[in-house]
Amino acid sequence: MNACLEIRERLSEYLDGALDSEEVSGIESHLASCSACREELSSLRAVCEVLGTLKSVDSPPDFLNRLRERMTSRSFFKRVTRWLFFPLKIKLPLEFVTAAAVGVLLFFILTPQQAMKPVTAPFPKGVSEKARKASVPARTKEIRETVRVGADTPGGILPDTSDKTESLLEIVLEIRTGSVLYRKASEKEAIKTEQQQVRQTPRADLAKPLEAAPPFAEEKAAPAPEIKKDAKDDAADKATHLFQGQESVKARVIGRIVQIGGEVIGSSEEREEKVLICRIPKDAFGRLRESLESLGDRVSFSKEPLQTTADPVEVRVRIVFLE
Amino acid sequence: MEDRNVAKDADSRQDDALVRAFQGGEQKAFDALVKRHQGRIINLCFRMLGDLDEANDFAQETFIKAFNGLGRFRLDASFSTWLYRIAVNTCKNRLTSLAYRFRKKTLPIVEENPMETNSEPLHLEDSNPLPLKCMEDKERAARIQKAISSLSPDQRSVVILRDIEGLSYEEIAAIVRQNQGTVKSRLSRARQALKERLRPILI
Repeated sequence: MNACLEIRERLSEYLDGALDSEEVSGIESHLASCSACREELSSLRAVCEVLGTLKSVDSPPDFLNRLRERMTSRSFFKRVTRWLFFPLKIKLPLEFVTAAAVGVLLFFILTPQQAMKPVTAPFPKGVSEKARKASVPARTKEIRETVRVGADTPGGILPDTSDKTESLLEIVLEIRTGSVLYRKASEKEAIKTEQQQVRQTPRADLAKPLEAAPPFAEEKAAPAPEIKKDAKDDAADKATHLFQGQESVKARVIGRIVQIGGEVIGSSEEREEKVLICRIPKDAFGRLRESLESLGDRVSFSKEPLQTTADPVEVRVRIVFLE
Repeated sequence: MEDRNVAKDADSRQDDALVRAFQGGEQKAFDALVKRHQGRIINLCFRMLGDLDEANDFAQETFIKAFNGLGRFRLDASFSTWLYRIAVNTCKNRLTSLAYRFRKKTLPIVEENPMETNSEPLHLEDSNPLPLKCMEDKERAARIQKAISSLSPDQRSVVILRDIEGLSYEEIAAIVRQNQGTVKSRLSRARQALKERLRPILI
Protein backbone atom coordinates (compact mmCIF):
# COMPACT_ATOMS: atom_id res chain seq x y z
CA MET A 1 0.00 0.00 0.00
CA ASN A 2 2.86 2.31 0.89
CA ALA A 3 4.34 1.66 -2.53
CA CYS A 4 1.05 2.73 -4.08
CA LEU A 5 1.05 6.01 -2.10
CA GLU A 6 4.58 6.79 -3.21
CA ILE A 7 3.76 5.96 -6.81
CA ARG A 8 0.61 8.10 -6.77
CA GLU A 9 2.55 11.09 -5.50
CA ARG A 10 4.77 10.86 -8.57
CA LEU A 11 2.02 10.20 -11.11
CA SER A 12 1.49 13.90 -11.78
CA GLU A 13 5.15 14.31 -12.75
CA TYR A 14 5.05 11.00 -14.66
CA LEU A 15 2.19 12.40 -16.75
CA ASP A 16 4.19 15.54 -17.49
CA GLY A 17 7.25 13.52 -18.48
CA ALA A 18 9.26 15.20 -15.77
CA LEU A 19 10.87 12.04 -14.33
CA ASP A 20 14.13 10.42 -15.30
CA SER A 21 14.19 7.03 -17.04
CA GLU A 22 14.90 5.09 -13.84
CA GLU A 23 11.91 6.59 -12.03
CA VAL A 24 9.76 6.03 -15.11
CA SER A 25 10.64 2.33 -15.32
CA GLY A 26 9.95 1.93 -11.57
CA ILE A 27 6.52 3.50 -11.92
CA GLU A 28 5.69 1.53 -15.05
CA SER A 29 6.60 -1.81 -13.48
CA HIS A 30 4.33 -0.94 -10.52
CA LEU A 31 1.51 0.11 -12.82
CA ALA A 32 1.75 -3.18 -14.67
CA SER A 33 0.92 -5.03 -11.49
CA CYS A 34 -1.47 -2.56 -9.76
CA SER A 35 -4.86 -1.88 -11.31
CA ALA A 36 -5.83 0.74 -8.66
CA CYS A 37 -2.82 2.87 -9.57
CA ARG A 38 -3.60 2.42 -13.27
CA GLU A 39 -7.07 3.78 -12.60
CA GLU A 40 -5.62 6.65 -10.67
CA LEU A 41 -3.32 7.46 -13.56
CA SER A 42 -6.11 7.39 -16.08
CA SER A 43 -8.24 9.71 -13.89
CA LEU A 44 -5.39 12.19 -13.60
CA ARG A 45 -4.79 12.02 -17.32
CA ALA A 46 -8.50 12.71 -17.87
CA VAL A 47 -8.28 15.78 -15.61
CA CYS A 48 -5.35 17.15 -17.60
CA GLU A 49 -7.14 16.51 -20.86
CA VAL A 50 -10.35 18.13 -19.64
CA LEU A 51 -8.45 21.22 -18.54
CA GLY A 52 -6.63 21.32 -21.84
CA THR A 53 -9.88 21.29 -23.79
CA LEU A 54 -11.25 24.41 -22.07
CA LYS A 55 -11.81 27.14 -24.61
CA SER A 56 -9.97 30.38 -24.22
CA VAL A 57 -12.18 33.36 -23.58
CA ASP A 58 -12.22 36.01 -26.26
CA SER A 59 -10.67 39.31 -25.41
CA PRO A 60 -13.05 42.22 -25.99
CA PRO A 61 -12.29 44.18 -29.18
CA ASP A 62 -12.09 47.49 -27.30
CA PHE A 63 -9.72 46.15 -24.66
CA LEU A 64 -6.81 48.37 -25.69
CA ASN A 65 -8.97 51.50 -26.01
CA ARG A 66 -10.49 50.95 -22.60
CA LEU A 67 -7.06 50.35 -21.19
CA ARG A 68 -5.84 53.65 -22.66
CA GLU A 69 -8.86 55.49 -21.20
CA ARG A 70 -8.25 53.99 -17.83
CA MET A 71 -4.58 54.86 -17.93
CA THR A 72 -5.40 58.44 -18.90
CA SER A 73 -7.88 58.85 -16.06
CA ARG A 74 -5.44 57.12 -13.71
CA SER A 75 -2.65 59.46 -14.76
CA PHE A 76 -4.94 62.47 -14.19
CA PHE A 77 -5.70 61.16 -10.73
CA LYS A 78 -2.01 60.57 -10.21
CA ARG A 79 -1.22 64.13 -11.28
CA VAL A 80 -3.79 65.51 -8.84
CA THR A 81 -2.43 63.31 -6.06
CA ARG A 82 1.08 64.41 -6.88
CA TRP A 83 0.01 68.03 -6.89
CA LEU A 84 -1.74 67.61 -3.54
CA PHE A 85 0.79 65.55 -1.67
CA PHE A 86 4.18 65.74 -3.32
CA PRO A 87 6.89 66.62 -2.56
CA LEU A 88 6.06 65.02 0.78
CA LYS A 89 8.80 66.90 2.60
CA ILE A 90 7.10 70.22 2.04
CA LYS A 91 3.45 69.46 1.56
CA LEU A 92 2.78 67.07 4.40
CA PRO A 93 4.04 69.41 7.15
CA LEU A 94 2.15 72.27 5.51
CA GLU A 95 -1.03 70.23 5.40
CA PHE A 96 -0.55 69.15 8.98
CA VAL A 97 -0.07 72.72 10.16
CA THR A 98 -3.12 73.87 8.19
CA ALA A 99 -5.23 71.07 9.66
CA ALA A 100 -4.06 71.96 13.15
CA ALA A 101 -4.82 75.65 12.56
CA VAL A 102 -8.30 74.82 11.30
CA GLY A 103 -8.82 72.60 14.36
CA VAL A 104 -7.83 75.41 16.73
CA LEU A 105 -10.04 77.88 14.86
CA LEU A 106 -13.01 75.52 15.01
CA PHE A 107 -12.41 75.01 18.72
CA PHE A 108 -12.61 78.74 19.34
CA ILE A 109 -15.61 79.19 17.09
CA LEU A 110 -17.56 76.32 18.59
CA THR A 111 -16.66 76.90 22.25
CA PRO A 112 -19.34 79.05 23.97
CA GLN A 113 -18.02 82.48 24.92
CA GLN A 114 -19.21 82.10 28.53
CA ALA A 115 -17.10 78.99 29.07
CA MET A 116 -13.97 80.75 27.93
CA LYS A 117 -14.17 83.47 30.57
CA PRO A 118 -12.03 82.64 33.60
CA VAL A 119 -13.78 82.75 36.96
CA THR A 120 -11.03 84.88 38.38
CA ALA A 121 -8.38 86.55 36.33
CA PRO A 122 -6.61 89.14 38.39
CA PHE A 123 -3.87 89.42 35.80
CA PRO A 124 -3.84 88.61 32.15
CA LYS A 125 -1.73 85.66 31.12
CA GLY A 126 1.70 86.46 29.89
CA VAL A 127 2.44 89.08 32.55
CA SER A 128 5.63 88.11 34.27
CA GLU A 129 5.67 87.22 37.94
CA LYS A 130 7.80 90.24 38.72
CA ALA A 131 5.48 92.64 36.94
CA ARG A 132 2.55 91.10 38.73
CA LYS A 133 4.15 91.54 42.14
CA ALA A 134 5.01 95.12 41.33
CA SER A 135 1.42 95.92 40.46
CA VAL A 136 -0.04 94.23 43.51
CA PRO A 137 -1.03 96.73 46.16
CA ALA A 138 0.19 96.18 49.68
CA ARG A 139 -2.83 94.05 50.37
CA THR A 140 -5.17 92.57 47.79
CA LYS A 141 -8.27 90.66 48.60
CA GLU A 142 -10.30 88.88 46.01
CA ILE A 143 -13.64 87.32 46.48
CA ARG A 144 -14.81 84.58 44.22
CA GLU A 145 -18.20 83.04 44.54
CA THR A 146 -19.32 79.81 43.03
CA VAL A 147 -22.57 78.00 43.45
CA ARG A 148 -22.46 74.22 43.42
CA VAL A 149 -25.61 72.21 43.01
CA GLY A 150 -26.03 68.98 44.93
CA ALA A 151 -24.72 67.69 48.19
CA ASP A 152 -20.97 67.94 48.29
CA THR A 153 -18.87 66.95 51.23
CA PRO A 154 -15.23 67.03 50.20
CA GLY A 155 -12.80 65.67 52.73
CA GLY A 156 -15.57 65.03 55.20
CA ILE A 157 -15.71 68.68 56.15
CA LEU A 158 -19.45 68.95 55.96
CA PRO A 159 -21.96 67.25 58.15
CA ASP A 160 -24.64 65.35 56.26
CA THR A 161 -26.94 68.08 55.06
CA SER A 162 -28.79 66.26 52.34
CA ASP A 163 -32.06 66.29 54.26
CA LYS A 164 -31.86 69.98 55.04
CA THR A 165 -30.57 71.73 52.00
CA GLU A 166 -30.80 71.07 48.31
CA SER A 167 -27.67 72.85 47.31
CA LEU A 168 -24.36 73.83 48.75
CA LEU A 169 -23.34 77.42 48.37
CA GLU A 170 -19.74 78.27 48.38
CA ILE A 171 -18.00 81.58 48.70
CA VAL A 172 -14.32 81.58 47.91
CA LEU A 173 -12.38 84.38 49.48
CA GLU A 174 -8.87 84.73 48.11
CA ILE A 175 -6.47 86.75 50.20
CA ARG A 176 -3.23 87.77 48.62
CA THR A 177 -0.85 87.71 51.57
CA GLY A 178 2.12 89.53 50.06
CA SER A 179 4.11 90.68 53.01
CA VAL A 180 1.23 92.41 54.73
CA LEU A 181 0.45 89.51 57.02
CA TYR A 182 3.87 89.76 58.62
CA ARG A 183 2.60 92.31 60.99
CA LYS A 184 4.51 94.27 63.50
CA ALA A 185 5.39 92.54 66.69
CA SER A 186 3.20 94.97 68.61
CA GLU A 187 0.10 93.61 66.83
CA LYS A 188 0.94 90.00 67.67
CA GLU A 189 -0.68 90.02 71.06
CA ALA A 190 -3.92 91.55 69.86
CA ILE A 191 -4.25 88.95 67.13
CA LYS A 192 -3.42 86.14 69.49
CA THR A 193 -6.08 87.27 71.99
CA GLU A 194 -8.61 87.60 69.21
CA GLN A 195 -7.81 84.11 68.01
CA GLN A 196 -8.17 82.55 71.43
CA GLN A 197 -11.48 84.30 71.93
CA VAL A 198 -12.75 82.95 68.66
CA ARG A 199 -11.85 79.44 69.63
CA GLN A 200 -13.33 79.66 73.13
CA THR A 201 -16.48 81.56 72.32
CA PRO A 202 -19.65 79.54 71.78
CA ARG A 203 -21.02 79.90 68.26
CA ALA A 204 -23.85 82.26 69.17
CA ASP A 205 -21.43 84.69 70.79
CA LEU A 206 -18.92 84.79 67.98
CA ALA A 207 -19.83 88.32 66.96
CA LYS A 208 -18.63 90.01 70.09
CA PRO A 209 -14.87 89.37 70.10
CA LEU A 210 -14.72 89.71 66.33
CA GLU A 211 -16.24 93.14 66.41
CA ALA A 212 -13.46 94.10 68.74
CA ALA A 213 -10.81 93.18 66.16
CA PRO A 214 -9.03 96.11 64.52
CA PRO A 215 -10.72 97.23 61.28
CA PHE A 216 -9.25 95.78 58.15
CA ALA A 217 -8.67 99.21 56.65
CA GLU A 218 -6.14 99.94 59.31
CA GLU A 219 -4.05 97.00 58.28
CA LYS A 220 -4.37 98.10 54.69
CA ALA A 221 -2.97 101.49 55.59
CA ALA A 222 0.29 100.04 56.86
CA PRO A 223 3.19 101.74 55.06
CA ALA A 224 5.14 99.65 52.57
CA PRO A 225 8.71 100.39 53.84
CA GLU A 226 7.75 99.09 57.24
CA ILE A 227 6.49 95.90 55.65
CA LYS A 228 9.72 95.42 53.82
CA LYS A 229 11.58 95.80 57.01
CA ASP A 230 9.39 93.16 58.64
CA ALA A 231 9.97 90.81 55.77
CA LYS A 232 13.58 90.57 56.81
CA ASP A 233 12.62 88.83 60.06
CA ASP A 234 13.81 85.31 60.57
CA ALA A 235 11.83 82.43 58.96
CA ALA A 236 10.23 81.12 62.16
CA ASP A 237 8.95 84.52 63.05
CA LYS A 238 7.53 84.93 59.56
CA ALA A 239 5.69 81.65 59.85
CA THR A 240 4.17 82.67 63.16
CA HIS A 241 3.11 86.00 61.73
CA LEU A 242 1.65 84.37 58.71
CA PHE A 243 -0.33 81.93 60.81
CA GLN A 244 -1.61 84.71 63.03
CA GLY A 245 -2.50 86.85 60.04
CA GLN A 246 -4.48 84.01 58.55
CA GLU A 247 -6.27 83.44 61.84
CA SER A 248 -7.11 87.10 61.97
CA VAL A 249 -8.74 86.96 58.53
CA LYS A 250 -10.63 83.84 59.54
CA ALA A 251 -11.87 85.52 62.69
CA ARG A 252 -13.08 88.45 60.66
CA VAL A 253 -15.00 86.18 58.34
CA ILE A 254 -16.61 84.42 61.30
CA GLY A 255 -17.54 87.82 62.64
CA ARG A 256 -19.30 88.72 59.39
CA ILE A 257 -21.17 85.44 59.40
CA VAL A 258 -22.44 85.97 62.91
CA GLN A 259 -23.29 89.59 62.11
CA ILE A 260 -25.80 88.61 59.47
CA GLY A 261 -27.46 86.13 61.83
CA GLY A 262 -25.68 82.94 60.82
CA GLU A 263 -23.72 80.43 62.76
CA VAL A 264 -20.55 78.47 62.06
CA ILE A 265 -21.21 74.75 62.21
CA GLY A 266 -17.92 73.34 61.10
CA SER A 267 -14.48 74.23 59.90
CA SER A 268 -11.33 72.71 58.54
CA GLU A 269 -8.03 74.11 57.58
CA GLU A 270 -4.90 73.38 55.73
CA ARG A 271 -1.77 75.41 55.27
CA GLU A 272 -3.03 77.69 52.51
CA GLU A 273 -6.73 77.35 52.97
CA LYS A 274 -9.34 77.64 55.67
CA VAL A 275 -12.88 76.44 55.22
CA LEU A 276 -15.83 77.53 57.31
CA ILE A 277 -19.18 75.83 57.06
CA CYS A 278 -21.96 78.05 58.23
CA ARG A 279 -25.71 78.02 58.35
CA ILE A 280 -27.40 81.27 57.51
CA PRO A 281 -30.96 82.42 56.84
CA LYS A 282 -31.66 82.16 53.14
CA ASP A 283 -32.42 85.85 52.73
CA ALA A 284 -29.15 86.74 54.48
CA PHE A 285 -27.00 85.16 51.78
CA GLY A 286 -26.82 88.36 49.75
CA ARG A 287 -25.85 90.34 52.82
CA LEU A 288 -23.12 87.84 53.70
CA ARG A 289 -21.77 88.07 50.23
CA GLU A 290 -21.68 91.88 50.35
CA SER A 291 -20.22 91.77 53.79
CA LEU A 292 -17.38 89.53 52.69
CA GLU A 293 -16.88 91.62 49.60
CA SER A 294 -16.16 94.58 51.74
CA LEU A 295 -13.07 92.76 52.98
CA GLY A 296 -11.50 93.53 49.63
CA ASP A 297 -12.00 94.20 45.96
CA ARG A 298 -14.39 91.92 44.18
CA VAL A 299 -12.88 90.42 41.08
CA SER A 300 -15.65 88.31 39.70
CA PHE A 301 -19.08 87.66 40.90
CA SER A 302 -21.80 85.22 39.99
CA LYS A 303 -25.09 86.92 39.35
CA GLU A 304 -27.08 83.73 39.49
CA PRO A 305 -29.94 83.86 41.95
CA LEU A 306 -30.02 81.51 44.88
CA GLN A 307 -31.42 78.25 43.52
CA THR A 308 -32.64 76.55 46.63
CA THR A 309 -35.84 76.13 48.59
CA ALA A 310 -34.09 75.30 51.83
CA ASP A 311 -34.04 77.80 54.66
CA PRO A 312 -31.66 78.21 56.42
CA VAL A 313 -29.03 77.47 53.79
CA GLU A 314 -25.58 76.11 54.37
CA VAL A 315 -22.71 78.05 52.93
CA ARG A 316 -19.12 77.04 52.70
CA VAL A 317 -16.66 79.90 52.88
CA ARG A 318 -13.22 78.96 51.59
CA ILE A 319 -10.50 81.41 52.51
CA VAL A 320 -7.58 80.82 50.19
CA PHE A 321 -4.30 82.49 51.00
CA LEU A 322 -2.24 83.31 47.97
CA GLU A 323 1.41 84.25 48.00
CA MET B 1 8.28 20.44 -28.80
CA GLU B 2 11.42 21.85 -30.39
CA ASP B 3 9.36 23.89 -32.86
CA ARG B 4 7.39 25.26 -29.98
CA ASN B 5 10.54 26.32 -28.16
CA VAL B 6 11.87 27.98 -31.30
CA ALA B 7 8.58 29.89 -31.68
CA LYS B 8 8.76 30.83 -28.03
CA ASP B 9 12.26 32.16 -28.45
CA ALA B 10 11.19 34.20 -31.43
CA ASP B 11 8.25 35.58 -29.45
CA SER B 12 10.51 36.34 -26.56
CA ARG B 13 12.97 38.19 -28.79
CA GLN B 14 10.15 40.27 -30.24
CA ASP B 15 8.95 41.09 -26.73
CA ASP B 16 12.46 42.14 -25.75
CA ALA B 17 12.72 44.42 -28.77
CA LEU B 18 9.39 46.05 -27.92
CA VAL B 19 10.41 46.47 -24.28
CA ARG B 20 13.64 48.15 -25.34
CA ALA B 21 11.73 50.40 -27.72
CA PHE B 22 9.35 51.39 -24.91
CA GLN B 23 12.24 52.05 -22.57
CA GLY B 24 13.78 54.16 -25.32
CA GLY B 25 10.70 56.39 -25.24
CA GLU B 26 8.48 54.80 -27.87
CA GLN B 27 5.09 54.62 -26.12
CA LYS B 28 3.45 52.81 -29.05
CA ALA B 29 5.59 49.76 -28.33
CA PHE B 30 3.51 49.19 -25.21
CA ASP B 31 0.33 48.94 -27.30
CA ALA B 32 2.01 46.22 -29.35
CA LEU B 33 2.94 44.36 -26.18
CA VAL B 34 -0.65 44.60 -24.95
CA LYS B 35 -1.99 43.27 -28.23
CA ARG B 36 0.42 40.37 -28.17
CA HIS B 37 -0.41 39.28 -24.61
CA GLN B 38 -3.93 40.45 -23.84
CA GLY B 39 -5.57 37.16 -24.86
CA ARG B 40 -3.48 35.01 -22.57
CA ILE B 41 -3.65 37.46 -19.68
CA ILE B 42 -7.44 37.78 -19.91
CA ASN B 43 -7.75 34.00 -20.08
CA LEU B 44 -5.49 33.56 -17.07
CA CYS B 45 -7.49 36.15 -15.12
CA PHE B 46 -10.75 34.51 -16.12
CA ARG B 47 -9.58 31.09 -14.93
CA MET B 48 -8.23 32.59 -11.72
CA LEU B 49 -11.30 34.69 -10.91
CA GLY B 50 -14.08 32.74 -12.64
CA ASP B 51 -15.83 35.87 -13.91
CA LEU B 52 -15.38 37.45 -17.33
CA ASP B 53 -16.05 41.06 -16.32
CA GLU B 54 -13.64 40.80 -13.43
CA ALA B 55 -11.14 39.08 -15.70
CA ASN B 56 -11.18 42.04 -18.12
CA ASP B 57 -10.94 44.45 -15.24
CA PHE B 58 -7.97 42.74 -13.63
CA ALA B 59 -6.24 42.11 -16.94
CA GLN B 60 -6.34 45.88 -17.44
CA GLU B 61 -5.02 46.36 -13.93
CA THR B 62 -2.18 43.97 -14.82
CA PHE B 63 -1.25 46.00 -17.90
CA ILE B 64 -1.41 49.27 -15.98
CA LYS B 65 1.00 47.85 -13.41
CA ALA B 66 3.21 46.59 -16.21
CA PHE B 67 3.17 50.01 -17.86
CA ASN B 68 4.21 51.66 -14.60
CA GLY B 69 6.99 49.14 -13.96
CA LEU B 70 8.26 48.56 -17.48
CA GLY B 71 10.72 51.43 -17.29
CA ARG B 72 12.55 49.62 -14.50
CA PHE B 73 12.20 46.14 -16.03
CA ARG B 74 15.54 44.52 -16.77
CA LEU B 75 15.59 41.91 -19.44
CA ASP B 76 17.07 39.20 -17.23
CA ALA B 77 13.70 37.39 -17.28
CA SER B 78 11.35 37.09 -20.20
CA PHE B 79 8.67 39.76 -20.52
CA SER B 80 5.90 37.15 -20.62
CA THR B 81 7.09 35.56 -17.36
CA TRP B 82 7.18 38.98 -15.75
CA LEU B 83 3.71 39.84 -17.08
CA TYR B 84 2.27 36.51 -15.94
CA ARG B 85 3.71 37.13 -12.51
CA ILE B 86 2.00 40.50 -12.28
CA ALA B 87 -1.28 38.94 -13.45
CA VAL B 88 -1.10 36.04 -10.99
CA ASN B 89 -0.28 38.34 -8.09
CA THR B 90 -3.00 40.81 -9.05
CA CYS B 91 -5.57 38.00 -9.17
CA LYS B 92 -4.33 36.46 -5.94
CA ASN B 93 -4.63 39.81 -4.22
CA ARG B 94 -8.15 40.08 -5.50
CA LEU B 95 -9.01 36.56 -4.32
CA THR B 96 -7.72 37.26 -0.84
CA SER B 97 -9.26 40.74 -0.60
CA LEU B 98 -12.06 41.30 1.87
CA ALA B 99 -14.29 42.80 -0.80
CA TYR B 100 -14.03 39.67 -2.95
CA ARG B 101 -14.65 37.28 -0.08
CA PHE B 102 -17.63 39.32 1.11
CA ARG B 103 -19.08 39.40 -2.40
CA LYS B 104 -18.53 35.69 -2.76
CA LYS B 105 -20.38 35.04 0.48
CA THR B 106 -23.40 37.11 -0.49
CA LEU B 107 -23.78 35.93 -4.10
CA PRO B 108 -26.68 33.54 -4.61
CA ILE B 109 -25.56 30.32 -6.23
CA VAL B 110 -27.86 30.15 -9.21
CA GLU B 111 -25.57 27.99 -11.26
CA GLU B 112 -25.65 25.11 -8.78
CA ASN B 113 -27.68 23.02 -11.13
CA PRO B 114 -29.01 24.91 -14.12
CA MET B 115 -31.35 22.07 -15.09
CA GLU B 116 -33.16 22.24 -11.75
CA THR B 117 -33.15 25.97 -11.09
CA ASN B 118 -34.48 26.90 -14.52
CA SER B 119 -38.21 27.32 -14.04
CA GLU B 120 -38.86 27.31 -17.79
CA PRO B 121 -39.00 23.77 -19.13
CA LEU B 122 -36.57 23.19 -21.90
CA HIS B 123 -38.14 22.55 -25.27
CA LEU B 124 -35.72 20.53 -27.33
CA GLU B 125 -38.02 19.13 -29.93
CA ASP B 126 -35.65 20.10 -32.67
CA SER B 127 -33.92 17.01 -33.87
CA ASN B 128 -30.76 19.00 -34.45
CA PRO B 129 -28.41 17.83 -31.64
CA LEU B 130 -26.29 21.02 -31.70
CA PRO B 131 -28.17 23.13 -29.12
CA LEU B 132 -28.12 20.27 -26.65
CA LYS B 133 -24.46 19.66 -27.32
CA CYS B 134 -23.78 23.35 -26.92
CA MET B 135 -25.63 23.45 -23.61
CA GLU B 136 -23.84 20.37 -22.36
CA ASP B 137 -20.51 21.91 -23.24
CA LYS B 138 -21.42 25.09 -21.40
CA GLU B 139 -22.54 23.20 -18.36
CA ARG B 140 -19.42 21.09 -18.41
CA ALA B 141 -17.20 24.15 -18.74
CA ALA B 142 -19.04 25.79 -15.85
CA ARG B 143 -18.49 22.71 -13.68
CA ILE B 144 -14.82 22.60 -14.51
CA GLN B 145 -14.46 26.31 -13.74
CA LYS B 146 -16.28 25.81 -10.46
CA ALA B 147 -13.89 22.99 -9.57
CA ILE B 148 -10.91 25.22 -10.39
CA SER B 149 -12.39 28.02 -8.31
CA SER B 150 -12.65 25.69 -5.34
CA LEU B 151 -8.84 25.36 -5.21
CA SER B 152 -6.65 27.61 -3.11
CA PRO B 153 -5.17 30.60 -5.01
CA ASP B 154 -1.71 28.96 -4.99
CA GLN B 155 -2.93 25.61 -6.37
CA ARG B 156 -5.22 27.40 -8.80
CA SER B 157 -2.43 29.46 -10.32
CA VAL B 158 -0.14 26.45 -10.74
CA VAL B 159 -2.73 24.20 -12.37
CA ILE B 160 -3.92 26.98 -14.70
CA LEU B 161 -0.39 27.85 -15.79
CA ARG B 162 0.45 24.19 -16.38
CA ASP B 163 -2.68 22.50 -17.71
CA ILE B 164 -4.45 25.44 -19.37
CA GLU B 165 -1.62 27.73 -20.43
CA GLY B 166 0.78 24.84 -21.04
CA LEU B 167 3.84 26.41 -19.38
CA SER B 168 6.84 24.39 -18.22
CA TYR B 169 7.71 23.72 -14.57
CA GLU B 170 10.63 26.08 -14.96
CA GLU B 171 8.50 28.94 -16.25
CA ILE B 172 5.87 28.37 -13.58
CA ALA B 173 8.54 28.33 -10.88
CA ALA B 174 9.84 31.66 -12.22
CA ILE B 175 6.34 33.15 -12.30
CA VAL B 176 5.26 32.10 -8.82
CA ARG B 177 8.79 32.57 -7.45
CA GLN B 178 8.98 29.11 -5.89
CA ASN B 179 11.33 26.24 -6.54
CA GLN B 180 10.29 23.51 -8.95
CA GLY B 181 9.76 20.98 -6.15
CA THR B 182 7.10 23.21 -4.62
CA VAL B 183 5.49 23.73 -8.00
CA LYS B 184 5.38 19.96 -8.63
CA SER B 185 3.82 19.13 -5.28
CA ARG B 186 1.28 21.96 -5.59
CA LEU B 187 0.36 20.76 -9.04
CA SER B 188 0.04 17.16 -7.89
CA ARG B 189 -2.29 18.17 -5.04
CA ALA B 190 -4.31 20.44 -7.30
CA ARG B 191 -4.83 17.66 -9.84
CA GLN B 192 -5.81 15.22 -7.10
CA ALA B 193 -8.39 17.69 -5.80
CA LEU B 194 -9.76 18.33 -9.29
CA LYS B 195 -9.95 14.59 -9.95
CA GLU B 196 -12.25 14.21 -6.94
CA ARG B 197 -14.40 17.17 -7.84
CA LEU B 198 -14.71 16.35 -11.51
CA ARG B 199 -15.30 12.62 -11.04
CA PRO B 200 -18.94 12.80 -12.30
CA ILE B 201 -17.95 14.28 -15.65
CA LEU B 202 -14.73 12.34 -16.08
CA ILE B 203 -16.50 8.97 -16.32
